[in-house]
Amino acid sequence: MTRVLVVDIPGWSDRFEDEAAAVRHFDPVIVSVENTVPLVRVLRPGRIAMGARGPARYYRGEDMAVAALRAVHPDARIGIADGLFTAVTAATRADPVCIVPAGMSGVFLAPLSVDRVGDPDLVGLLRRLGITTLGAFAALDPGAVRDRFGVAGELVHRSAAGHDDSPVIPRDVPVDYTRVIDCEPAIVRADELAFTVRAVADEFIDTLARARFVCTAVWVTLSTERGDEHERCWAHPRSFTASDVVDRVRWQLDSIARFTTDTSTDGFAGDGIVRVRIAPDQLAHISRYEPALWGEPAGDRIHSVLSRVQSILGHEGVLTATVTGGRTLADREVFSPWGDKPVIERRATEPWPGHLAALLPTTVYHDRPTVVLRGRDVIAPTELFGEPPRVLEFEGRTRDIVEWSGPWPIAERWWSGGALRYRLQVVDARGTAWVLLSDGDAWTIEARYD
Amino acid sequence: MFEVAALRDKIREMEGTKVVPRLPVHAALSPLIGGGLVPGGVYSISPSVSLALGLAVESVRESGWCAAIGFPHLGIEAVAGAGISLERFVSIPTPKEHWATVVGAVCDGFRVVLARSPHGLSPTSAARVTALAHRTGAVLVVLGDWPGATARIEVTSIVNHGVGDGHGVLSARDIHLRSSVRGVVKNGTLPWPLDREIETPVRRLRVVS
Repeated sequence: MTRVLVVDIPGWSDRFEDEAAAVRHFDPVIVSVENTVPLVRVLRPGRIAMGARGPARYYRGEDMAVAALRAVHPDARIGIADGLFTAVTAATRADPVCIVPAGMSGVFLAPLSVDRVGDPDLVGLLRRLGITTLGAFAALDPGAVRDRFGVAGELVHRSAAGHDDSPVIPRDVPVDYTRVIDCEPAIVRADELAFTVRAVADEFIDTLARARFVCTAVWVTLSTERGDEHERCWAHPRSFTASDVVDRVRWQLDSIARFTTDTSTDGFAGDGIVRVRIAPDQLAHISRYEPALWGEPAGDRIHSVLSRVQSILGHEGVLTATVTGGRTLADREVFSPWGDKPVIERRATEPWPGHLAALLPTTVYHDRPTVVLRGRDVIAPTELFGEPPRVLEFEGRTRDIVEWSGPWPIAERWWSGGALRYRLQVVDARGTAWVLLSDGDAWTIEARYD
Repeated sequence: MFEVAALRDKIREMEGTKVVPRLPVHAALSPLIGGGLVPGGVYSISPSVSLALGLAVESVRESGWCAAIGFPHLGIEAVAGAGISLERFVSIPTPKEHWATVVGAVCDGFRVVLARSPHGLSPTSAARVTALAHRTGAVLVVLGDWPGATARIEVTSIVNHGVGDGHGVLSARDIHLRSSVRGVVKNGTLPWPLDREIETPVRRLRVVS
């Protein structure tokens, strides 16, 4: 059984604004630990695992190795046990050190809550079956667990029994999986580039698979003749196949082309691609990853359909949506490309005075086109009409206004000198209702009920 | 292949037996389209997003994915508010000239596809999309005209509640509809928001001082 040592710094991620910052600031910590014990694996920001046998031999004993690490990071909790799952559990229960003797994992885990297996669906199911401790779960027959819960359940069941024997794979992945493709002559067309990259992408994914890895995020770097480098990290909701990698390379070329103004030549503004670099950003072990694939065939189908659409329309062509906080309707919507994590800056649950809470419009304009509002004359938002609005002019068409309400002021950073804005609802003769928002001295369309 | 299937469909429907179980639809729309959405059917409706959401919501409430194609300004809060889970919803805002290809692709795997019909779609492309929806069993709701639609629903008028001459705030809408299924015409009213009882008279606020 592998002895594993886990160093855990409690509340690490809470100290930072976002995950990226937590990862970035964790790098120096990793280096400092590596100076004490080489070959570590980062489980997540704030938590590192390593094989315990080497350090124990070097520092003459597990407790001495722990002392050496604690000298570097006094605020860290440290757990040592057989296997990764037990070692992580030990570290999270450590005060500040918890060493589970060899062969005692089962005894150590048995009284603990079954919540520790981490899979909420499985935990819910087990609780409904009256199984509340890891020991009770471990006591189930392995064959029956496999039949009932599949491969994922079987892996978790082994962990709960203290038989988790997955090795700690150090972060210094010994093989460099980066692939570099030199293009001679330079490539300007997307299909040509896709063709060139295809074989390398196949080999890249195959090599990873043989090493029992799947890739969930990949860096693509395109170097141009002028010496520009366009680098981007692409995440995948599941894991990359070779054609997914080719698609990302092609989309990246498309997105550069879109920002290039010189369109005199076909494709890529005459500035060809001379080098493509593909490097894995995040690798997951296949045995750790297979459980996630198990039991969601519908998700697979949806993903392959949407990837196909993205390969036609580009990465930003397919969007998922989230509702967040904000005062204007457009502020409250966040769209992100299929496959990317949404970036949420404001929370929907915080109070947002001034937002339209009543009836939610079915059409919301992010670019807010300008309209003209007329009574007898043009009505500017600054006038706050003495006479009722009668006509709405939008996209060259005039609509008679039959009902209207407002305007209501929206309090928005008035304390820092921001202009006071007004919102107005009007209903046209065909029954379509419009939400107008004042912007400087013009009325704009914020939304529509259609 | 498709013609044979369509014919068989028609014969069985005329015999009064259902070929495939229909998908549930909002109670106000159910009588207009014969009790539910036909999987693989194409519904041609007036360009009303409220109506499109009303048609979609019940069939994807518990499971199943919904896509909106060609709605660059879709109000996401209204989509979620109608009861469509954003976890199982995607928007393809601007399919451009690939409209037919994209709609066809998305029909494979999605339960309901809402699509704003583009100008100048060729009858051949339309027939191909119809056949694809039929084969995959996706319900296709097209905002615009569609040759050979399973049902057509048009908005005849809309009553807006709550807005008056400069006072109040829009609180509810009655969307009056006329449907036509194989020559049978029916009238109905869709409430907005969808969970509103249409029979309940909406109280209007009066200014008392």
